[in-house]
Amino acid sequence: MTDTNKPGANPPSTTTHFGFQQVPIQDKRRRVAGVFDSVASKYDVMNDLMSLGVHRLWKRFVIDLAGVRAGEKVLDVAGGTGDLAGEFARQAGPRGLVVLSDINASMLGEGRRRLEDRGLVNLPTVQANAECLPFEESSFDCITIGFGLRNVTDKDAALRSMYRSLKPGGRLLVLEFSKPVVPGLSRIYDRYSFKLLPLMGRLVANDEDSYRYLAESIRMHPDQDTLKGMMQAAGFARTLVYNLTGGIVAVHRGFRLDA
Amino acid sequence: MSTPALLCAAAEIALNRYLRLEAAVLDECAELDGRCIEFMLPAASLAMTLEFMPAGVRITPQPPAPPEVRVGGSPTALLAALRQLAGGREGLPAGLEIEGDPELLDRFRAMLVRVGFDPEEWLAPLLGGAAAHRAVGSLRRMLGWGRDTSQRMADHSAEYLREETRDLARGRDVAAWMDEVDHCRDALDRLDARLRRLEGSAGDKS
Ligand SMILES: C[S@@+](CC[C@H](N)C(=O)[O-])C[C@H]1O[C@@H](n2cnc3c(N)ncnc32)[C@H](O)[C@@H]1O
Repeated sequence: MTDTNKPGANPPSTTTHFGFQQVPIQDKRRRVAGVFDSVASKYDVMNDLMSLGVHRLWKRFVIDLAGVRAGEKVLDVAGGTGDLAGEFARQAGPRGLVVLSDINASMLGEGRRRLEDRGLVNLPTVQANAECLPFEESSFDCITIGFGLRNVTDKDAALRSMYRSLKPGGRLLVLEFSKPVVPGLSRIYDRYSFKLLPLMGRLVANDEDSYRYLAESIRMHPDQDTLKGMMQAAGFARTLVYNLTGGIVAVHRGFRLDA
Repeated sequence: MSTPALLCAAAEIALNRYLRLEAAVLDECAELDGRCIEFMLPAASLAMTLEFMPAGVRITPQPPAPPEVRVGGSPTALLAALRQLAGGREGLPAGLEIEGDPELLDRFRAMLVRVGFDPEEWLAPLLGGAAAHRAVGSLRRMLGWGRDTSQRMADHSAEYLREETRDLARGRDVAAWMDEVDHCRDALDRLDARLRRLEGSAGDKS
């Protein structure tokens, strides 16, 4: 399944996957937006339930590994409800700059509200598509994309766009569902995500289809090695994969090292 | 021979926290940008490379470029080296096998001394607090450390994260938090009383 996403594995075509369905490329963006529009307000509760609370630990790992320092400029792409951006804002401090961006206005709105609840009021939010980020070249010390890349239609374009927006020496961290590397875990995980997830989606968010899409999109996302190769193809150096929770989730980190 | 990525991450995160304590040390990291030291612990089949960069160091399982210096040794020798570091003593410790240019290694040692690097604290997130004391105190445990920890780290990232990042509440943290809440309440009560007094006295005057 993951093969379908290997760079160059697909013949040029006008369709792309939406979960397990093939849809016209223009449609995917709209449909993904639909999914996140409908889950925005319940998103956090679902995140906790879906990952049994572990998503906080995964994000914590990204925050630690990003090692944002006071005064740095940070961009959180597909930042949704602002979990990562909020923490980065604390670390970057008043001399730094943290931008929260997402393609979806209702997720951004939810994110802004939640950041305000935490007393973070001066974070710029930018509605932007990860594939063509509207920032000047070499703008950021650190860019993160947490559970966002799998929703992006043209992942290679998104990686290139993030590379461009990084300053030389800057780092990109991609947090995404991946392929379990522990034997036996795959089967259990399949059951969980295809049976339990949509059920929880129905019970909590009253939206079984959106959560079925999430489960399917996770399975269609490139595996660790494929994504690492895609990052290298986009120009990233020192690319390393960190498997968390047996590879259910992986963090990929790469640096822009050109002068 | 290499080290699981998560173990490298844990070492990098903890080490950078130290290095970032001193702006001058970070400047030196920037000056050494791209230069590498490889550390090897053959008894535990572990090797990792430290590469300097402007924001500190990057630790990877494989050397990104041929390292300028390789340091290896038995766990006893590495332990002695860590102890010597903690003591802030000059010079490279005996018993380590050093291949290549020792100057870079010595500069790194001096940086660690400057930021007050404490090996026990450094090992704590990898091992859990109590185990770090035992590891630094006992050679046998240190020997076991490499083998067990690399596996443990790979399997139980959440465990590392709990200790390291305190994301999951621990009893004593909850107690400390409750104290703060009490404190906050008292302060609020005092503020409330003061406001009432002020309002009262303003009322008297008008
Ligand atoms: C699963 S949420 C992740 C939110 C947040 N980063 C987190 O970890 O909680 C995925 C987000 O990706 C956004 N998204 C989807 N396609 C995108 C694109 N092409 N460009 C930017 N954001 C996109 C969605 O709107 C959604 O908010």
